[in-house]
Amino acid sequence: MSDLRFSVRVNSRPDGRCDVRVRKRSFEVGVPLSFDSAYDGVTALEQFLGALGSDLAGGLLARARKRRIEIDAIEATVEAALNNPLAYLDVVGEQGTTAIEQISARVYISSFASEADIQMLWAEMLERSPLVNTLRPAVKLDLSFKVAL
Amino acid sequence: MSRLPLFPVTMVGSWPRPAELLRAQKAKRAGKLSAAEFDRLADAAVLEVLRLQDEAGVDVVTDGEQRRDNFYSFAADKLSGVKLMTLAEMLDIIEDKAGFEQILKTLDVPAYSLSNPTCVGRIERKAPLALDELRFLRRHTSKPVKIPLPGPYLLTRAMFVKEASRPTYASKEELSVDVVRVLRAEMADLVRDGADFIQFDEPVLTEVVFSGGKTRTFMCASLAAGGDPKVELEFAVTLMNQVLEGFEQVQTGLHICRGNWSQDESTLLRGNYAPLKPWLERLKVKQLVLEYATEPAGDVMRFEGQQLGLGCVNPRTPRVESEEEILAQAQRALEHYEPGQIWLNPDCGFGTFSNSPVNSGNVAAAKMKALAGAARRLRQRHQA
Repeated sequence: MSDLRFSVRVNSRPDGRCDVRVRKRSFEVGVPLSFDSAYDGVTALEQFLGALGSDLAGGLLARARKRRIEIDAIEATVEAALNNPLAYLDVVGEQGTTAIEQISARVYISSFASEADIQMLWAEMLERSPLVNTLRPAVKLDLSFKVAL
Repeated sequence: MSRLPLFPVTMVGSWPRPAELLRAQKAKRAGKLSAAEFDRLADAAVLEVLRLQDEAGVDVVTDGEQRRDNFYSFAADKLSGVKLMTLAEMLDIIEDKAGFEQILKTLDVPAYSLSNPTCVGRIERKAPLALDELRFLRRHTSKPVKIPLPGPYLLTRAMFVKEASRPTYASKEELSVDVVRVLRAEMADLVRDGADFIQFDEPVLTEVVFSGGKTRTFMCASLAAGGDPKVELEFAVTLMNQVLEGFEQVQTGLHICRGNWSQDESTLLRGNYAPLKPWLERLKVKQLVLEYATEPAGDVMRFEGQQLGLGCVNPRTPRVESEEEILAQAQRALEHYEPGQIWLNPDCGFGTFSNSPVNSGNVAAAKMKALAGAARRLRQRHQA
């Protein structure tokens, strides 16, 4: 194990949200999980999915720059299937552990590069993605891409 | 229009754009390419589409919509008070984000790739919508020319995004008054300059009837709030007839489809045209340009008082239909129509959305050639 560490500091607020401080920046995270579509915060679960999508999109862009392949835009959609959601709400009779069972991500890439080049970038990105490689043993990952101008 | 043979062959509108033109389109939008430089590339692309139509034997030609981003969003460049917004941008302002996410998922497209002309102010023509297209075609072909235009219902529904439009127009009905005015001015210009066939595209009419209230296209930003399909269809007929009033001298058509963004036919809306019939027959268009090569559209049916633009090749499939298949389709139409009432065309365009054409230029050319071959055989049978 290397000595390299990454850390954040999280402070709770009375309203259930948290402030996350990292280096010289900070951002807000909402409640861990919400089933209310009108909830106006960004939950911890949603931030987690956003982080994965950003890891995929940003990772692809980084590989493209390294290979000098032009990419105009990348868009990722990430969706998680949650097991035992009602147990999280303490619904009487509901048991089990609330956990993500599967994560699906669809990544759209706008580029005039060849399909072979895009395929290469995709493979290189997956090979290096810290989040993908951490999650893969723990959760079913369904990751795909599509070239869409 | 010069005298046409029986079973005239025509395109619905679009043709796949060459990669160079797509790059130019992006560069122009990003302000990295001048309009003149873009026009130079687009002119070359249109000439190639004309050549391919000539070679295939098409009777009434289009410019393949080469200058357009898609069949209706191009209006944003020509109208003041309209902003071309990607769906990614619209997601920031609309209330029903979940609905839009569902649409994107159904279409399997990214939000950055779809653009909607959104009304953000009072709309006026800054420039004619398609007059430049007509004039260019007129200079380079002696064949009759078809000009496709977005229909008034489509434009109204697409442009009225209440979060962006309400400061100017209280309702879609109020906006529609200006949409009709703009389209009538365009009609007048096109007729004056000799357009032979003006076709209005109203693809969302099938949404109104067949989607069961679950909007599937971004073209109907506010359709979910539209309510009763009968009210929507009545609105559509009223607008179309207001646009057409007084233009009886020109050949007009109305094109309806059921989604042309994917080669996956299972994404298409299902249902024949029967629920639309009472409204379509009240339209003052001379021709209904309908999909029939795609199975979900059902069997050919008769519409009183209108010609049929018979869709008899599927623009989304890679397989080229044989002349025999097209003849069989025409035969089904002949059970309801006289030979002089039938035109032959693909079900829809081959490149409705410039960045996601549903077929290659080679397949499109082969399909148009098959249509023209079948038309020649039909003429031999029915010329007497």
